[in-house]
Amino acid sequence: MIYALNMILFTLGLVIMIRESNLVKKVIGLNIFQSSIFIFFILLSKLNDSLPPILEDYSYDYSNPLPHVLILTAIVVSISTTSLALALILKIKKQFNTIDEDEISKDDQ
Amino acid sequence: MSQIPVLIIILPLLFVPIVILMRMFKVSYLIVVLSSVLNFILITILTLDVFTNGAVFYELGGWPAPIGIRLNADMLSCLFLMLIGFMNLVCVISCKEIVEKTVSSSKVYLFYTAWLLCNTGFTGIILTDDIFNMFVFLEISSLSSYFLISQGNQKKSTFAALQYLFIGSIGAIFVLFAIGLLYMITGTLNMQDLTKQLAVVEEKQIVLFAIVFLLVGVGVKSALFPLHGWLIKTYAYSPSIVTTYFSGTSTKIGIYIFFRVFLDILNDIGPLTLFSLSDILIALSSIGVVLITYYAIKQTDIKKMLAYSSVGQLSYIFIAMILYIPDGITASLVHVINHSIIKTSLFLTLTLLFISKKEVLLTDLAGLSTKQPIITSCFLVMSLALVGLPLTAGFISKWYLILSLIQSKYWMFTSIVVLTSFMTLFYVWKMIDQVYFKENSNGEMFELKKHQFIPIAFLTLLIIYLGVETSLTVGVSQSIAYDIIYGVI
Amino acid sequence: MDDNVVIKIISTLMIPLILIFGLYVQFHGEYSAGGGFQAGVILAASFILYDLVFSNENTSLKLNTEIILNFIAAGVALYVLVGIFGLLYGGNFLDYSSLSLSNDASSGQKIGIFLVEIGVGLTVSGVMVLIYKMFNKSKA
Repeated sequence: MIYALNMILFTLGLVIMIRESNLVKKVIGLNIFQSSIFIFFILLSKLNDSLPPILEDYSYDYSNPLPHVLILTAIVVSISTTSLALALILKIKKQFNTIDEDEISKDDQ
Repeated sequence: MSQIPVLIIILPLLFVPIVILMRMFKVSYLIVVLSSVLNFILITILTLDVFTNGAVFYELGGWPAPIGIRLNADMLSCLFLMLIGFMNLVCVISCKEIVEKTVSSSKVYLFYTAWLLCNTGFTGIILTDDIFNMFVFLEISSLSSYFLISQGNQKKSTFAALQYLFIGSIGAIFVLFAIGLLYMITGTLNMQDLTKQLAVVEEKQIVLFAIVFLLVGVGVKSALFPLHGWLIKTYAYSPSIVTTYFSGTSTKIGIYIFFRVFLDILNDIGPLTLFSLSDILIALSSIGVVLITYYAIKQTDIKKMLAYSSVGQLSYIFIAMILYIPDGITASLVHVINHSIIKTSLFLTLTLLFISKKEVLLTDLAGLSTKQPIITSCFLVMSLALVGLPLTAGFISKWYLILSLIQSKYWMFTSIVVLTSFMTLFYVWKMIDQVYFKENSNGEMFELKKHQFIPIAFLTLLIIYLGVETSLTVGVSQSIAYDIIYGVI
Repeated sequence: MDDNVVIKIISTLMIPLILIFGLYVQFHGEYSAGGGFQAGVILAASFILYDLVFSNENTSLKLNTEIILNFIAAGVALYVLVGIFGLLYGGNFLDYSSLSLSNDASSGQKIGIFLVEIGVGLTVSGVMVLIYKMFNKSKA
């Protein structure tokens, strides 16, 4: 069930990225798209009624910590991608005075 | 000695903070040269070791394989490592003046930082034995390459970088998703362990799902035919030295990932035979080659023309790889090497000839032969190698490609490859025509200093050498091909 | 900015807490949830909050871009050097056991993780503050 919702998020992000011509909205779409994959990884690690994987004195079902660590790395990558994209958009805004993709392409001809 | 695999990745990374901390002293270039030379020496030592004694494994932190992260240097990785190390060295040696001309002086150290990070990413992708690490290194190299591209001095370069960022990020996320799917069914991220686990896995559907996502994700990176759009723009608008560097490395990394994932990790499943994926891909690539070559003929901007030509050549590499017979894989590996060298040398020549020019049109080449006879003859050799004339490196790989196509009895595709090779002659002729038979109208001098001859001449000699003496490239590629197909790895 | 008294008071209360929490996450990361990445972001958040609330001509973040860059580089260098330290003692890269003073592998690993996490924390907080400063500076 959650997987299905997650896939909706996945598609939504992709559609936003393809359809929107505003560059900032594209970045937002990219973020949604990336988040859906992150949630997918976190879902993989979850067992039924599992607790966080923190060392305790008694034994219990805990979720798999590896995907959490992987996603931590992926989130860092995502932050860098977003900030780089925004920085590039700022530069584009200065050069073309617009952040609309169609107008920039029109400028080309 | 045993520490070499990790040093290859770590040394550029260690030089990154040094470049940043020493930014006041204008020594960034020297540090980068030092790093590249050291890196190339280490790679050579590692390669010799691997070719004589077999694959080398390196466990990070001393943790054993499926739990810890491991580096793996086998013949395939060493072949690509040599290529990347060599291209990096050539570009770094010849890039000083070009970088000073294109990048504002306050940002030069950032440019070199990104360059080193990019190199770290490339070597990391090749050496790692952990599929998630591969994704991380892929993103390291991509992020720094977006920055490098955006430093071009044309108005559109920022936009080209941003578009590449969007497409590249989608591709990387697809790869990440596929990695998640593979992790879900096998519970491991180590490549060798993954191979074992996947051979016995029940849920073939999920594997297929993962394969499709991997194909699209890696296809973006390596500019597989319908996904090549970014390559044209980035080649045309990035700083010319970056174009030179990427033409030999960036897309080849994509092809390495293809080899590693499809022909090594997923080899037991035969990912390309599922749903006749290979036929679809070959047909797609063949259509691609024809269209791309046609577009290349139409271009007037040389950088764009060569970018289209790159996509076409990459399609050859794919076709050869997908045939999945020893000769085909040999052809694609040899073509990876030869095409990298040819394209890099072509771009390098253009870059050095037109250091401060923003856009290089075909007509700018006019009258080159009277002013720079030596460079012109080098340029002629390179262009003919691109077509694939005998005695040049390009011939060998095309020969093997056609041979393997005939072996697989794909008659139609054989004729397409032969046809497009002749079409290549058209756009190469357009360049040669300008160089030899047109008068120089605008009276501009070609800026070129003595010491810049050396890399160009060296690359030209290398092209001829690899065209005559084939035992090195073909021999190594053949043994890798047999390893892949008959499963000795 | 006089009408923002509530925000100012609350942030004065919050910023020390955020800083301490960041340091807690940094140094307690080996045992519980936490580590360099999270701590770096939390620490950077406190700096950014300070700058958002109290910035005017005189009191805007005095931290120079150059100094932050040095911090970032130092963090990466610390990470790599700790890794290479293992090489010198015959171990593999990031083999922390050799860092131990008393031939005890696990205490060496504690020191190793501690140092590496400090490197990560330095770099991450530096990068976050730098990103904020860059975007803040380039108000178009």
